[in-house]
Amino acid sequence: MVRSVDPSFDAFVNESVGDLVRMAYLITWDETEAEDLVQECLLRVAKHWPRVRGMEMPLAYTRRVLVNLALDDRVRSARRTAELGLDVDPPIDVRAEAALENVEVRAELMEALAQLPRQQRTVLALRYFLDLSEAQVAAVLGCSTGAVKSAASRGLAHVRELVVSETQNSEVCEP
Amino acid sequence: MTDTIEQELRTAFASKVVSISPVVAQRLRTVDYHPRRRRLPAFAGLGALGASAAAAIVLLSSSAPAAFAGWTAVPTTPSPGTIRLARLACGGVPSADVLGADQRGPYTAIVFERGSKPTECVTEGRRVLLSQATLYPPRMFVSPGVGNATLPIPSPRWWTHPRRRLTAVSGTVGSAVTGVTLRLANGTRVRATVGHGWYLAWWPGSFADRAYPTRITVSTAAGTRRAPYSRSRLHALFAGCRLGTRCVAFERAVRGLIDLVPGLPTQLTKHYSLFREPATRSTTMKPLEQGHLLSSQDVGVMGLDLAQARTFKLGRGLTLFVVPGSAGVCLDLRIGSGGLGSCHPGPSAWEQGTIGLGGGGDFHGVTTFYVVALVPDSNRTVSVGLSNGQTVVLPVKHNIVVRGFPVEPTKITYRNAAGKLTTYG
Repeated sequence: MVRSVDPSFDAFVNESVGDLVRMAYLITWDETEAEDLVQECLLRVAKHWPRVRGMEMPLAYTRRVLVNLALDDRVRSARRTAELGLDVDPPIDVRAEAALENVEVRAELMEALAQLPRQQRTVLALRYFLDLSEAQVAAVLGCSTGAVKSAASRGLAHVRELVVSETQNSEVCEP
Repeated sequence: MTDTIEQELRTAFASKVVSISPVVAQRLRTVDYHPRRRRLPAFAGLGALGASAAAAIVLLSSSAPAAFAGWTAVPTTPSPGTIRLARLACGGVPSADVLGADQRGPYTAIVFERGSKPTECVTEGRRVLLSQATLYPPRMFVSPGVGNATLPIPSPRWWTHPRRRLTAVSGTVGSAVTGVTLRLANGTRVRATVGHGWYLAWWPGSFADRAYPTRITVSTAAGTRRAPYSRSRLHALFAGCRLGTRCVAFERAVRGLIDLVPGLPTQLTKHYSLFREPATRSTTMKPLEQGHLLSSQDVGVMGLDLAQARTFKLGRGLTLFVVPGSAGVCLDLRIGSGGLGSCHPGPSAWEQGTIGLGGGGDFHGVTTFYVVALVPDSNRTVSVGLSNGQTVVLPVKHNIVVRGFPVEPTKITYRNAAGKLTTYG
């Protein structure tokens, strides 16, 4: 379906788009923005495809473009975004009461992740969703391994803090 | 602890990505990413320019798929199999309760009877784009005075995605009616599906897109009659806006000149502790309009007092705005970038409670049906009956009940302001 002159780019898009969408979604926490982000990223990669195609890992390069776009405030403000609030986790399934406790814990974690600064969430997603090593995360972000280690540790601490405060404030309350 | 939280993070991320709609990747695979090399000729004669412009439009639309791509203003008739699938997707069982159905491109819309309440549901394959009960009391209908047709006040009650706002209306028509066409403020003409005493139509967009009807055309064998969507009559329909109350002029509300009605109706402060406590933080029109759930029209016709709005962070990314007014109450539940909202006219809104039942849609690939209710003080719990036969007892906090279900809630039992046990649905 992709109308590109180079069929290898079509194949690359078909293979990698799912991975890129998931990555973008975990960074932005918003489906619409993730879609926009991946589209923009692939447009940029398409422009340099003859060069990217020759790389050892075109997907790693594309991920780097994606992350840079996602963390670039100028691009973000230019993009149409609709960050109206936090996303919702799947609803409580009354047919699975036994899983309720797990759902509640995950819901708190989801809310904490949604509140994290985008940079910290990106590091955590690269480390704990894609299971990249600290060196690989550093390569994607274009920074040192030490910086990744420290960002991941700050991110974990922040999540823990948010989960604890959410648990202590689980009553319905007016802000 | 660290190992545990790392494991929890893996699980949380994995469950988050499961909720991405597969349509996103599908759309991205169809985008033309290849940079354009050919430039359109600047001036090449009128005929050539016309052809080039047309080609450019096609390219643009292929790169940026429009919301509701393939939607048609003139519906076709879906096959019985498609109707059964839509009914299943809408949380029911394929049965004879479907009153009407239409197909607009890849989208199937049905009206079916749930108890005695007709419900509109719009689907795209197995995805539910909208599900709303047509719970308009009779006075909320505008009649063009022909063929017993009625035009409900259109209000986009539900949408699941900022790019995919839609409005659906349905109404009753007499047996002599052969056709109903709605003209929208943005110039679109939408032909409704007519049959079995019902008509059904839906279209992309909402008030924010000027996608609300301004005229209804009803055809019978005897001829065709057109009727405007009467703004003054619409305003007068709200019995809660009584003499002596400072009602907001509808025209002013439409132009964005919102008058606030000072104070709250005494019934609200009497029966709802929520409104006896001072509002800690009022809201402005901005957050309400950002989600396009409550429009300035809602504010106008309900005489809403934004300074008296109560905002609740409910956890799990849900925020509820409860906005009272001299002529009704609006409930606006935000869920991520979508949500659901509904307005209920008074005085029944404050005497009988304000119930939003079964509003449903597709949140990140999960179809969820919500109960959103504002009930009087006498309720510590309410019981909700679900379409799968289960009954669930839910706690009431600050007069509010909000809960999402994977199956459709069909009724709610609670106490009204007089303390009488009441079942709604």
